[in-house]
Amino acid sequence: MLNWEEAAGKWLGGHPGEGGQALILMLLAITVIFAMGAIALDFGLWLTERQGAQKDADSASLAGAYELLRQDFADPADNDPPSVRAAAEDAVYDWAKLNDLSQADVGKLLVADTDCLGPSQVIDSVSIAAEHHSPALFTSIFGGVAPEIGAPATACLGSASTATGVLPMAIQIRGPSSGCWADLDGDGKAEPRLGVTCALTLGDEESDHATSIRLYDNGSDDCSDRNTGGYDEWRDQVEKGGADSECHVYNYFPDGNRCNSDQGGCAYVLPGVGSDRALASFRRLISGEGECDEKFGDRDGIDELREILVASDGDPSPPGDAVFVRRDCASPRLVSLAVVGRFPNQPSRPMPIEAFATFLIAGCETEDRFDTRCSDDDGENNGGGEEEDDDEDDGQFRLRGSFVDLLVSSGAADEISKWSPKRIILVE
Amino acid sequence: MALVLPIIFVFILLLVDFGTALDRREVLQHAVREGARRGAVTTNISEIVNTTVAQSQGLLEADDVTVCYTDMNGNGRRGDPGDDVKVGVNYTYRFSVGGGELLSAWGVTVPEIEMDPWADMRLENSVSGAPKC
Repeated sequence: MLNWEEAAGKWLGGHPGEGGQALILMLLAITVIFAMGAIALDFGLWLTERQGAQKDADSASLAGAYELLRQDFADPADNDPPSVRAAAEDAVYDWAKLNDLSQADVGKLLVADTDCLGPSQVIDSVSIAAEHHSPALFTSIFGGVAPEIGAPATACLGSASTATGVLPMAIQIRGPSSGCWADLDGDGKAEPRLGVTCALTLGDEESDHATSIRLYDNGSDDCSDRNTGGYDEWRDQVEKGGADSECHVYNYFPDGNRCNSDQGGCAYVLPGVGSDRALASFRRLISGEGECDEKFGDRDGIDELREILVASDGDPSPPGDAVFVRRDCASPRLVSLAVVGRFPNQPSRPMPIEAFATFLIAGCETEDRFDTRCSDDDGENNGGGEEEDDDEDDGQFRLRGSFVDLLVSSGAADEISKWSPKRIILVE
Repeated sequence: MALVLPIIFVFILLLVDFGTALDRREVLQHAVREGARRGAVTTNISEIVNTTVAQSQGLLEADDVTVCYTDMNGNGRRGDPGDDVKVGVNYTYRFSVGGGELLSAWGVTVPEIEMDPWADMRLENSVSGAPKC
């Protein structure tokens, strides 16, 4: 009678005494393979849970940050920080619950003024860590323990970045009277009248409201000098919607005494800008519009204020002091202009920039007509092609629109201003 | 050996199927998250659906995506800023990479995994004609 080892060796073609070795190896291999598979599956589950936790954290923190819009931005001292925090925390818990995250799983909740998008006098950030619990389905068989799965998120409230660059044009707010600015807060200094339609006159040396600014030339004079291509550079910059080339305003908020060093912080008058050539450059600038109109408007092809901003409380006819949120679209009609006190009487004199204002271009106005697309008098060249009358220089025109934002020079350009449209973004 | 190898082979193929299913679930979660965020800042429901579908790596079609709104501020209107937008998807993963086909060859019903991830976000825009959840 054969014993087990002899039988195995006979049946499997092996030698007597070696039966069972393969079986042991196979069992070991199977165990290892199963263990690896189990760990791979559990890790996959945990990674999925991690992504779900991130989604929940993002949603809850954004919801909490939205609640911060209810603060008083004009008079931050009037805010009640504890109630603001409580409201934001309630919103966090509400949206956590909507995403199936219990209040106990919302950890490290912090609602604070962290200046995460620039200096501010208000509470501007909501941070949380969402915790998900996932079992160790298979890993536990091998003694493994499920890890703590969590995901952090921080949502911040800040001022909208209103334009891709600074349009190389300045407005003077202590010059000839205009419907565009007034002393709104009684401090003796004029501010842009936000949300009020008005017109900026260009090209008239006697009554300029706006003019081009000298562009930083990085050592050469080619950026601004009309005789060496400065005018063309200015026009090119307008068409691009901002000073984003080698020629640009270098130092936005300079020390006035240092303007003579010409490090770009100074702005200079460049007479004769308001010509039909400038008109053409504005026409080309806004020829690329339509995204905001297409997404949020009446689809007439023209981006309008209500298609670019929305009141945070949804009011279709918001009052002037409403808090606005920037819609998710870009429009070349929204440009940043440099604000100066008063143009100097002579060209090439320092003109320190005091602030930046965001202006929505409604259209261009010549002597006898207004056109939303800044087309020329005969109505031709609407397509943005090369204009035929480029060499003519036949006088001024007016840029009509409204100011929607003012970033003052007392702080960084990202500071939350009381008028600024707001944005809420995830920073973590 | 001849008995064990097919079992290991099927096990590995099922592992591949499970892995693929987990990957699908991650993709879908990402898609609904992106769709919901788009929903928070847009007024156009079809844009939300398109974003979700575009982020799903071809797993979803427009009919698989549902978008609805909940009145959170209690004013009786859905779709106001501050209300809730919910984006959900329905997707059925059927084991197929190898394990599923082997199982069906042996007469075993091929397993399916129903996936219906969703995401809720707070509206930053007003939406007209917002469907109720």
